[in-house]
Amino acid sequence: MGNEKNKTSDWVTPENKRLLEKLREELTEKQKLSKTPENKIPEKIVSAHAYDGGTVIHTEKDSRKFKYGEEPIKPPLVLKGELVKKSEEEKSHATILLENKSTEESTKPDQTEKLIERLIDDTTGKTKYEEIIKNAAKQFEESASEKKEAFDELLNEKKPISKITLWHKKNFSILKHQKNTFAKLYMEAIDEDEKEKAFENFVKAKKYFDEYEEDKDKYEKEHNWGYKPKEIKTEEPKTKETQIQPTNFTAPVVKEIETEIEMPTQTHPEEDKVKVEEIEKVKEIEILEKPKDVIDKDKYIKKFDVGKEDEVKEIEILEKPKDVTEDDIKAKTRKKYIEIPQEEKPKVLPDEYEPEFSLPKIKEDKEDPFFEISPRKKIMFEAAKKLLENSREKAKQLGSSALKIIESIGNNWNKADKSYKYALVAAALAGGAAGGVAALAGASALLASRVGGSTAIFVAAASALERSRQKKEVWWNQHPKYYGAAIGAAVFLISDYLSSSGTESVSGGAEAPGASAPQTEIKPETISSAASVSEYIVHEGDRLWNIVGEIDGVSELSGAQKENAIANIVGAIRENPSLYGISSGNVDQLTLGDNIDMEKIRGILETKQISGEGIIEHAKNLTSEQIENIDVSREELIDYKIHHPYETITTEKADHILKEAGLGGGTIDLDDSAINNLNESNLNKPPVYGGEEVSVELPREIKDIVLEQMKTLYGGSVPFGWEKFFNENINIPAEDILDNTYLDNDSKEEYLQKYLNQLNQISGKSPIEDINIGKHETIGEYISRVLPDVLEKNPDWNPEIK
Amino acid sequence: MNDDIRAFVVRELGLETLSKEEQDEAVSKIGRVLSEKVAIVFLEKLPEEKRETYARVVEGGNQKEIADFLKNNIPDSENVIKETLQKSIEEFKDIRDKLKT
Repeated sequence: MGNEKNKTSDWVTPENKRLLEKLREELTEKQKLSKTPENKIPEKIVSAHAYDGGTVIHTEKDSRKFKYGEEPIKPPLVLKGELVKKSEEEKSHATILLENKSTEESTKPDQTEKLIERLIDDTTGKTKYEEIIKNAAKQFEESASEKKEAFDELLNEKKPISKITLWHKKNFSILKHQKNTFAKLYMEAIDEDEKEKAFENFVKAKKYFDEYEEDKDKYEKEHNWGYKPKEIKTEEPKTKETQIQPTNFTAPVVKEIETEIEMPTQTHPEEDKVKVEEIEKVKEIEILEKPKDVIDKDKYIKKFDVGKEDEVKEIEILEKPKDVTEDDIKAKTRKKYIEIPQEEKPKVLPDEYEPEFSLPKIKEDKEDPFFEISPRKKIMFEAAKKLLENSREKAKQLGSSALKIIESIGNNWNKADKSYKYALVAAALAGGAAGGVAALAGASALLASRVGGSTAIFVAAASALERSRQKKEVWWNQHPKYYGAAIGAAVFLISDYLSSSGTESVSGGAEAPGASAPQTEIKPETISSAASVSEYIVHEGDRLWNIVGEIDGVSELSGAQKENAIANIVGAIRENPSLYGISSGNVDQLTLGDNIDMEKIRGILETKQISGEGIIEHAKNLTSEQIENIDVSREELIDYKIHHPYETITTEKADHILKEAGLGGGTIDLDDSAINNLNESNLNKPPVYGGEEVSVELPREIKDIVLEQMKTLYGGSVPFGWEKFFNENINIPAEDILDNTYLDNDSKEEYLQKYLNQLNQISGKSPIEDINIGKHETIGEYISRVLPDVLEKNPDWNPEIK
Repeated sequence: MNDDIRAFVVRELGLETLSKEEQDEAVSKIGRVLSEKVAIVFLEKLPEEKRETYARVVEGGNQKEIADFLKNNIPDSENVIKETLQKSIEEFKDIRDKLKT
């Protein structure tokens, strides 16, 4: 691993070069100020390592750790970019704090920092601050008590929801006390230098306090300081090597401690419980024991015994040790304060270091007792895994581009639906998916994940199958209609084709959400009867698109012409579905036994005009250019929809998109209603509430509870990236997920689906849906509404009780 | 989903003895590997200076853009896919058979 890191390609990056330049500049400045300059300006980077907090640059002279600006308390208080060079005199840790942004962004001035600089330089401001500082200093002892009280309350509180509130209180009191501490230091400064330093720190501390007070959630989010549920691992809790930072305050660094701890896998629940408690204690001790600046801290303790008392008591209270005496704690605490950390050059990579290049971890098979694996399945999975390992070895050699591609494919593959996955593998087995180059080379998973497997790859798969069929190679001769219908078909028909094959069921009225869709074939003769009958009774597996496609006049058309005609007919029906016998009022949701009025539908052919022509006439008169335009425009709109899954594509929007793409606009040649089909085929629906899109932010406490419950459901862990996924999807109509019956086993969607199903079952409440006013309760709204019931009815699901 | 496609895949991969859920999971995993395999083979065939562009294009997810990029940079890309898939499927079957014994 170490050798790999020294490869030129690994570390000579623009960012590392920038860091070297920064280091050189800083050291040059230092040398100018120094009376005894040393030849310590590095010329080049020897190697560089990325680690979870930033980058370590090794030069021929020295090593420097560049830490990203993710301080739990906004710089308390080393300014970004400030070099605190380690020296024998100072005995502080050499660190340069840089913002965790790109090079371009990092050059932008930070508004807060600029403001602080202005204030510090402004003598008027200083005068103005005198009174504020005086008052703050008076509150010093009071805020120390408040801080202690806040810690006590947080420790003793067991309810997750209440903990969040107390977490805020704790943060608030820390920042307040921090501000008051500097005020007191200012008031009692013995010389001008000390006074000046205290003033600077007070201004910064006040600014951070004000920012927090103004919007605590925002502040916590920005500084990664929010409340996080604790996670546990089975291994002995590894004491993280404390990284001492030259700051002036004790700052509870929660993030890096908590994120290190992983979930248990197979231990007895009781054992887990004990370990949880123990680890929690250790963590809390660590939080409080992590001194940030030894020198200033000593000064602080020396000057204000109240502060020292506080810290010791806090540890004492939080730790509640079984066999550790008070003296032990004090000794330990004192030791922490007295010890001066020595900078260590990372000659050997520490555990925390991670290589710059690492392949995404393969999700392990679930070996939890909840998920038994049969030997047969294990063989299949092992084989797939070995195959994957082989290709990843190659990927590793190919560098970071391979990583990006694998990530893109992997992330989206998990979201793809089952039909798509089978189609791709079928195409592979049938001799390669010719025509699906782009799909197989990376776009496939993305496409499939967003449009429900209804696009190019399926065409490619069907094409491959059809070619084999024509060669009479295999088994599908008996079902030519299926494949004939699929080949060359447009997205609407493909979507319909998939749906009619059982991936989506017609609404069965009382069908339970999440129940499996019946795998029923469409019977061509049944559909064909729609061509001439006056009423058509909806059977299992029927879709309006199929029914309309079989009526006289339309069935004779093919390709884009047929698509165009069907889209315009369905568009007309959509204006008033119940008029045509669709009891659900939704053209995409037929109900078993519905009597579809075929006479009325045929009537559309006579009455509906598109550009002054009847629907069939219009479809037949499409020029080759128009047909081509339809194909191209459709692809463009689909592509847009893929990248903006929750955006409604209106006629105007479609026109705009096409114009932007240089396609003129309006070339899709479908009327308004038909364009609506694009929004409502297999694509994700936008969140609709009272006819308008809304975006709802779920309160943090609810998110935390959801996370805990998810872990309960899935044996202690959630899929990687779960939180991000959940946040991105809380505005989707809940019934969309509940109704989705064809999710694959290891996707996040399926986790979410199962979770919502559980909420549904425990609460007995379904998502609210009112088609008439276009209101669909979103996932976030649904969870918020039913969660209280769930917690009450099922104690096992209550993280508080757990 | 079409039962015939399912039956075909299940039979060709020898998944008959698995439950339906297990079949789905196996197909999911195999399909993902196949996608990755094809992408990696393309990457190998690309000149080094174009790999980053390829990654960006794939990340962008525009099918047409990906197709154009590959067409312009990899001769006979469809056959590359075909060969890769066939080879990968064979490789998978070999590994599976060895694990069985």
